[in-house]
Amino acid sequence: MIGRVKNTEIKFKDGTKVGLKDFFHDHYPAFAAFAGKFVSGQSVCEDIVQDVFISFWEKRGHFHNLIAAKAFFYTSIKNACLDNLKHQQVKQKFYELKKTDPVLAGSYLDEIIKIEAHSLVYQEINKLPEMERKVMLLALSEKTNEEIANTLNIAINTVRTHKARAYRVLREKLGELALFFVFFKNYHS
Amino acid sequence: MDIFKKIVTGSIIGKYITGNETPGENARLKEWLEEDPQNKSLFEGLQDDKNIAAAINEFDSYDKDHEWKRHVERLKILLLQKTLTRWKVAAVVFIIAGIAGVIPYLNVEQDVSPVFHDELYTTVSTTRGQQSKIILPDSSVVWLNSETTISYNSNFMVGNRDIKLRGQAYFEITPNAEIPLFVECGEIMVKVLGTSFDVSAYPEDQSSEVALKSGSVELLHEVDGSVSYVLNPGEKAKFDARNREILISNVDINKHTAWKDGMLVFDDAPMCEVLEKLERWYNIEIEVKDTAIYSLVLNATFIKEDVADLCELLEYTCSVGYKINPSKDPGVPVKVILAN
Repeated sequence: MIGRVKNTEIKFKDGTKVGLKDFFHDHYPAFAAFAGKFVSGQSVCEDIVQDVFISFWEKRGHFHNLIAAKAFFYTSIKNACLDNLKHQQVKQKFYELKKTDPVLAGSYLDEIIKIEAHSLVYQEINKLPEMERKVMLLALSEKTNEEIANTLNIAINTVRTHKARAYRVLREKLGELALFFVFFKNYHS
Repeated sequence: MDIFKKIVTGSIIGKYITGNETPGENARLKEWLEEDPQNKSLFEGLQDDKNIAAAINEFDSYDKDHEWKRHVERLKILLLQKTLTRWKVAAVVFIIAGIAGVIPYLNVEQDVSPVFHDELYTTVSTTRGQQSKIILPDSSVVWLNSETTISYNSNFMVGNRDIKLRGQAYFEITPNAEIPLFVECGEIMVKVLGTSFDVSAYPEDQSSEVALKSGSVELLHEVDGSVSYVLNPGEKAKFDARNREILISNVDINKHTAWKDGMLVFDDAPMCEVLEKLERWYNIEIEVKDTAIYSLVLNATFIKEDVADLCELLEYTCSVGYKINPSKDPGVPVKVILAN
């Protein structure tokens, strides 16, 4: 019934399904950030993504799988952003530039790679307890342990413990990545 | 499909960064890195700690819980609008069928079965300044607020439990799955199986409200009885008669129904609404000399004070001056004048 909107499941044609609420929480911030690549102003981005979620709801029976749904989001968000720019008349410059410049025309596709990659990291980091998540974000921003301890008002040893635990979410950089590239070079030669 | 490939590539890189990629995905990633030297620099940029932190901070700048609530509200309204559109279609068909029925040789049989038949009605009314509590033949209890009329027909509990309401009432309904109870109030109808809820439907008000305390009620359209919304406990549905919209919001149900226990509770209520309710509650007339008063909001609980106490409370909380005069209207003995 209508009252059960919150628990709705989106069923894809390939038989998989996803809860609307989970889908929203996992992807909304990434979609809004994607809109932010084209238009400025957080509330503008929020409204654009909200609108696309509504049309997603209306077309929810038509998607083959999760990737097709995401493709719908990226395409619709990009189009809505360009429409928005058109209304602001800033578009003239941007659009003419876009038409003549194949690099810029294709660049939004690379933005999709970036957003998708970081969105996945985001979903993994969201599984961490709150304090570990905070420590990790500061550490990733290249803050020292002392700086983190001061910012969060915790002991340096606590920072170390949290950091050690939190970093399990990411691939161990020096080890595996190095191996990867060694392998990659051998594979090449 | 270029865009599909980009999405898949992006998510494989994300899985790689978090150490979750499958061997197959690892192989595809290597292939992709070979395709173009630019891919390698894109890939390295994505693994950079600072870039990861910047992306996640940007994601965090959006309040996804708040935006989710906003989305749910928008979906509910969208669904209600769709339902209302369907009703309009139903109403048109109904009228055409009705006209056709007049022509005898077409022999169109109507089975409309309206909920309210012309029968003997029991009617209970309260005047301004009065509250009352009645017990219906099925032992359901109804509290009536000021200036409220409730009526039910002689077949109540035999074949139906249909109630007509003008004004505001709070219901505690005895469960009976076989004979559901209907409250008809203007354009909306409430279907009840057994539950506690509050209905406010004054004919002079622009909107009718239904607030649910426990159990569940359905809001139906008055014309064809189709379901429009199933109300959850703690939710209030406000039906605006002018633009025919139903708005759902969460309310503090105890405050909302405090009137039945002899209290009037206002929670950030706009003054025009407050004064309207006070007029009904105390059976007084309130004249506002300074329109700035309308821009005030009030937080207060009134427990059956007399009019003088009421005015003092208003003076204290809203810093307005007052005068109590006898009124010219014999039905409304007291007139209060508010001025800054």
